[in-house]
Amino acid sequence: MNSVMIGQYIPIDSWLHRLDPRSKCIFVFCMLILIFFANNVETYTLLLLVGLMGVALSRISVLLFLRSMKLIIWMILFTTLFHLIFTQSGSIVLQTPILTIYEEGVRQAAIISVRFILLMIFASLLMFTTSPIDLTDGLESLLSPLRRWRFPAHEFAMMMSIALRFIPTLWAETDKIIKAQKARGADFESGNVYRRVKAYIPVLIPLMISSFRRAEDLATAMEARGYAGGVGRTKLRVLSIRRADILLLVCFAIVATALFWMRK
Amino acid sequence: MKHIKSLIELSGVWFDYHPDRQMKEQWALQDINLTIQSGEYVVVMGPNGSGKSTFARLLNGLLIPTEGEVRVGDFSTSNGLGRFHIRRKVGMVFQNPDNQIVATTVRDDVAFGLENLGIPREEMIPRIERALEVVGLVGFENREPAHLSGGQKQRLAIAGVLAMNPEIIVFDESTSMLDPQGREEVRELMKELHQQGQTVIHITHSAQEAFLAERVIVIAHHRLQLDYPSRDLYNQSNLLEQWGLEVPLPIRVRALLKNQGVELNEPIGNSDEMVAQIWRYLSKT
Repeated sequence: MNSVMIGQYIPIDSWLHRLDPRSKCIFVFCMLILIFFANNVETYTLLLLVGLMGVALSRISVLLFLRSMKLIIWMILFTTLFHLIFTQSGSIVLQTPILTIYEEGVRQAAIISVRFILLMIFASLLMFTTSPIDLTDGLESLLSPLRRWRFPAHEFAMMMSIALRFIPTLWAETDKIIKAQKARGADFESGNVYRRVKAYIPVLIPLMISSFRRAEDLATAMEARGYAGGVGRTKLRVLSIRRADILLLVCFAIVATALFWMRK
Repeated sequence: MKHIKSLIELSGVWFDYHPDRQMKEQWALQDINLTIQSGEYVVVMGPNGSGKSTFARLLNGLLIPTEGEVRVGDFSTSNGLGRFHIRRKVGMVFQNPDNQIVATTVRDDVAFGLENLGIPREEMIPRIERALEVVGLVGFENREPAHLSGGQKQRLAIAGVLAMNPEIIVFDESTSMLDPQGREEVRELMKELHQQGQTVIHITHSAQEAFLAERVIVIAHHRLQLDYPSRDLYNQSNLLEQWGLEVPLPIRVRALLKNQGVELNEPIGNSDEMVAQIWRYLSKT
């Protein structure tokens, strides 16, 4: 099956893996915001160092992080090019008959690229070191205060975990339908993009129909097992904030203070 | 005076999904009267579309009778609070092994029902362990359901039900989508559960499975047609054929031999037993 799924959980043991998913979520979320406050070489260097420290602490191969960068390489190239061509202030760096590159353009391009890379590092850190179940549990717990404003935190987490549960099932089914359609002479490999996309319609429709049937079966099975929403439910999995989690949040506070002190 | 209190009692049950649109003679289930005692092993058979799955869903309040009443113990499924208690008492295992597993690991899935009942965590852990032990899935706790075989998935579904300590387990065609090995695993487990005193109700269209039970109920044309101890059915296999059900070979052979004046006495379970009995008969004469 597809082992190169985006941001897939890497089940090994490390300091980051053992942290509570809630503290990791908060840390990463705050880091992502912090990235937008960095505005000079010092602050970006600081954030990059924090990111690299995280990579080291996760004990996950750097190659995997690089592979996740592949997803955003086109976005980086596009925005870089965009800034090089269209930003026209500061002194001229390079002048050719077709285009002129200004200093501000280079600066903006560099900033955007570093931001993208930082975003990807922190997001990958969270996804690589947190199992999907822990992630949904963590989100449910973090979002539960919003229940006061009628936000369906439990239902949201339940939906997410069911979706995760059915990804492999639906994937296997897609595979089966493709084979069945091929056996009936369907052609998925030739023709232009439009034709190839169109060839997948006879795969998607049976898949959708069977998904609805599955959803109905599952709802019946859940009801038969006494499911009646989040009220009065207990949980097998417990989350616990330990010393390491507090340490992580203290680290964030230090980084944030340092960043605001260093920025212009 | 009443004797032993029956566990499940259906009295004058009529049901249809769209009762206002259908003539009463066409309702999905018509005039079902039935009692099931604690500890029984009952098979409910019927051709496709006979209403047997609807029947199963009436037993734990997934469907509510349009007329009449289904009672489990002291509770009626027509009552909201009653249904809550009944869901705890009547566990259900469905047909499609994939579509009844909710959680992403074996352990979490067994916990699902317990979480719904609000069982404290300390109590959940031993109950999950015990349920997995009964179905033979110890060591699979952290497996993802996608990495289980069909028979294992169905055993996981049974574990999820068992952990809730039900009094009755209803199997709604739970063996029909499995390969022969998985089917055998699940049948074996049903037998074991029955021997441990569990009430087992098995909805199936396989006559072969029917003869594993003690009591056979046939639902056809939306009505209850037969309700026999399975022992007595051996002599009346034509009754099953009459309702469009396939009769297992040993039983058919036995009935045909009887017509020829050859009387084989003991009930026959499988073809090996049949061969043994024919030999015995031949050596006697």
